Amino acid sequence: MLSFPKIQKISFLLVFTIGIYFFLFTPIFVVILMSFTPHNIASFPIPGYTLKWYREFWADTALIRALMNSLLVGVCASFLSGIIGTLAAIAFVRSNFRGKQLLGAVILSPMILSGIITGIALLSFMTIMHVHKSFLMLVVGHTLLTFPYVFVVVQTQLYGFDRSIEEASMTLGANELETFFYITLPNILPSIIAGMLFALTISIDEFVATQCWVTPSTETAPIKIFSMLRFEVTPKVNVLGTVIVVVTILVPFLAEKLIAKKMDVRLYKKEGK
Amino acid sequence: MIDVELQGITKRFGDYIAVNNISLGIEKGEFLSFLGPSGCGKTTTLRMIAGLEEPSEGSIFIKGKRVNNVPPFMRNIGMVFQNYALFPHKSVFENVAYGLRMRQVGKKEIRRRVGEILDLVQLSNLENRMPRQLSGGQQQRVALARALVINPDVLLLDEPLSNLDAKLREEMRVETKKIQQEVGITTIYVTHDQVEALSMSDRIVIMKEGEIIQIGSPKEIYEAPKESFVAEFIGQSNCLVGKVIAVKGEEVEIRTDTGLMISARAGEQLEEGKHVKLYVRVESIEISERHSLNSKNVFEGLIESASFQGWETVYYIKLYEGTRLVAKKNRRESRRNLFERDSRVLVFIRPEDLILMPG
Amino acid sequence: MKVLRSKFLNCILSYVRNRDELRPLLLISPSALWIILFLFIPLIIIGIYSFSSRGEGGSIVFSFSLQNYKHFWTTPIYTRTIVKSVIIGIEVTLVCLIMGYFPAYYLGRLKGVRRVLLIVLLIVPFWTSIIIRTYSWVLILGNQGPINYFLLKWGLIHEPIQFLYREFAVILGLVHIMLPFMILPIFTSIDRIDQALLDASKSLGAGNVRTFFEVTVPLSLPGISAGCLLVFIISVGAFLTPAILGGPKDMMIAMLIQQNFLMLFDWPFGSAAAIIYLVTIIFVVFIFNKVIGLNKIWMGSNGK
Repeated sequence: MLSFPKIQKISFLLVFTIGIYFFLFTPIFVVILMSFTPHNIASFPIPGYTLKWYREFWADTALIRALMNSLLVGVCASFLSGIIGTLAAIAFVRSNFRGKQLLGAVILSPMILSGIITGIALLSFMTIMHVHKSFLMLVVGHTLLTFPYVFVVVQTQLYGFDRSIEEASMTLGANELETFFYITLPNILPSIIAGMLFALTISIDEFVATQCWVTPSTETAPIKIFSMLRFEVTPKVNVLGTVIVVVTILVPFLAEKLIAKKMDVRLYKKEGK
Repeated sequence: MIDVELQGITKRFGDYIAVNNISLGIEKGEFLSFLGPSGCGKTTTLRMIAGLEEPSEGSIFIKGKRVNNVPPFMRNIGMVFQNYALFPHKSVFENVAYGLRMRQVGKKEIRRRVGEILDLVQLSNLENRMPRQLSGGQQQRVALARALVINPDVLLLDEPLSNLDAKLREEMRVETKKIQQEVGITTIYVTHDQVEALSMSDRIVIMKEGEIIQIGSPKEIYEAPKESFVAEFIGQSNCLVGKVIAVKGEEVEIRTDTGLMISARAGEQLEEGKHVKLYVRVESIEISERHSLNSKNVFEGLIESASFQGWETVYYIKLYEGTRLVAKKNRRESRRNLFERDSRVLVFIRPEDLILMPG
Repeated sequence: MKVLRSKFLNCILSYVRNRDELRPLLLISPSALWIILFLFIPLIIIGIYSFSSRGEGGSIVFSFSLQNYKHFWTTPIYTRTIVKSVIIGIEVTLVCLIMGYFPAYYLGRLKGVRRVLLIVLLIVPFWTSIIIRTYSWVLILGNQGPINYFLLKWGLIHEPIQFLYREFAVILGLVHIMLPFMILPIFTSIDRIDQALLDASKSLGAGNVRTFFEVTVPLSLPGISAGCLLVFIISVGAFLTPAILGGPKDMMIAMLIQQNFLMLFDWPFGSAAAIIYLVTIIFVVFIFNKVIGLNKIWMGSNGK
């Protein structure tokens, strides 16, 4: 690293960096903290701790439904994204075709464009085609927004992939499809799953485009939070926020445990399958 | 009976010609090696036989059937890759059983056959291990077992030993050849290591820049190279350049460019005045401190350096008129005597040990 | 899976096998179709809307007119939205650059376990809901929040400072969200700098500061450009942060579009605003490409 006033320079950099991390994390802690306040308005400092708002949260059916909707849409969208994104990644890594650069940029665009654009675009499409807003359209829209993430993640792992095991599989009698399902897929699964988890998180948190597509019965958690911020600013919002934070962090950990277990089981399963 | 036949096979990658019009037939049960420097087209040829590459021109026949348009999984071949290409997510057993699964073989049968082949390669106790838990040598044997268990028509090996260390390589050479002979399978082997090719093959195909230079048994290749390239590639030789001075029946008198007079044996007729190259293998040079009985091809020389290498000693000798020779002597030949630097010696080369090549 | 061996599938396979162009086409079609059908064509519809006019009760009258655009550019309130968006975009980018470069540098030169830990910690806030994070600023900056509480307590002020619902809060909120987007690409760039180059510079007599400015900064330029472009583009199109933390004067283009589509039902005008936003973004990317070159980004970072 740097040599001249080593101790001091490192300290400055370290302190600065820690400060930035502090800046990034504090707001989250504040939200979680405030979910325990007995007051009706989240104010500082907190006089005591209570689980009152958590009880109210579980009793609020509309809220719970919104949460369930978010999870359901998220899971569906991440599955679809997983398939579409992976296929696209394979195409991009293994072949060259006309318009590849352009298509690549277009695929990545939902990641950068303001969500409102994607929102109004799909909304207009639904209107012109006389398709009603529905759970299905919500999934379609979320898939559009999240498959670029799977695309990027899977491509990264695919670039370093050694194709000789695919060739070996073919010399042993497996056709292209069998080779893909028995050999290629199991070996790129880690990145596909990572991408899908990414997609799930993005979907659960999606607000801007989603607001164009929801109906009262298909409201998702972020939509509910936003309306609560407008009309019903009680610490219940904090509870919802805390629940989402916990879910967002828990899901990848749980998934990792489950997947790791599943793969080990399959690996050591039977001989002569 | 010819098991594999190549007719006029050419492979182009854009403007680059990797394989140029090669034709040959491989007999049933034969162990044939493709030998040559990197980039000579040997691996490409192997991959075309496997079906992993398509020939630009020509036809490939396996067991009499034209297979150009047949994909690899329908060709009944067994292939061992340079990096073994074991499936990382499957155990040793599952790896070996894979080909049988693809052929819809029943579970019991799979169990029996995989068991047998693992016995053959001596890996029975490692059935349930994963590839990453195996050593290089073990992985190579799994790859071999996997390719053999399906009873392929042809066994194809792409430099299977090059990732192993020298000692292991020697052991595996013997093992592999032993297994091949036991099973009796037609084998095509690609390597850049001449010791492998010479020790294992029934026939060797020397390739250079996409073309076949010479085909022959190891002995033929070694003793009767047809071209300079082969003479230089195989074994270690000294090369002298000169002109034919006189021809007496089978014997030819040659004067090198540096003035040395040598007698050699020529298989075909050579005319006086013709330019030739003379190759003499490093082990064919006799060194002595006193005169021997023969009077032909005896030259005075000086030992410039002697390098003791255990079984062999390598000498750099400078002859009286300037020619430098490299000679190798092993302990048995030299009766454990070593010549020292700066000692004067007599160098003797038997006429029949000189390989003549038009130059 | 016996079905994979079926005659039918294998017929299809042998057909595709011999046609090289067909395979990528098949693989890419789901995603291409998805984008074309649900984004591309709809955007064309939006374009068409932008030249139409609003009919009774929010319906759309298809006629070709530039009325929406004229309306936008002649009404200061509307024009201000896109200008504000660009200005805020630039401000957020600059603040992120200054705040984010040093942590990125520190992270880039760090090795070992600590580095992995810090990177993971960087990603975690990224995974947390944007709404939650933005809302938290409402709590923190509010008149009854911790900042005002401590300032009052220590007697530095006599009544709470109105932090919220002003541009300051919007910038703060956006910077909070965008920092990881700036730090990661720069970190990647810095990570790739060969230590040997820095050593060489010092051995040639350049001190730490000079080495930093003459070697490190230029070599991290790909990461800096990537980070800046990313942060700028995303900030210009921000909706939630200005909506939650900003006041009426801080309306940005995304809010304008949302209002017209979901509340005023003036889809043609909203479409015009959307097109103006798109043109702005494309223009910025175009200029960026001309001046710095998009391929530099690919050289410098691996995307996210």
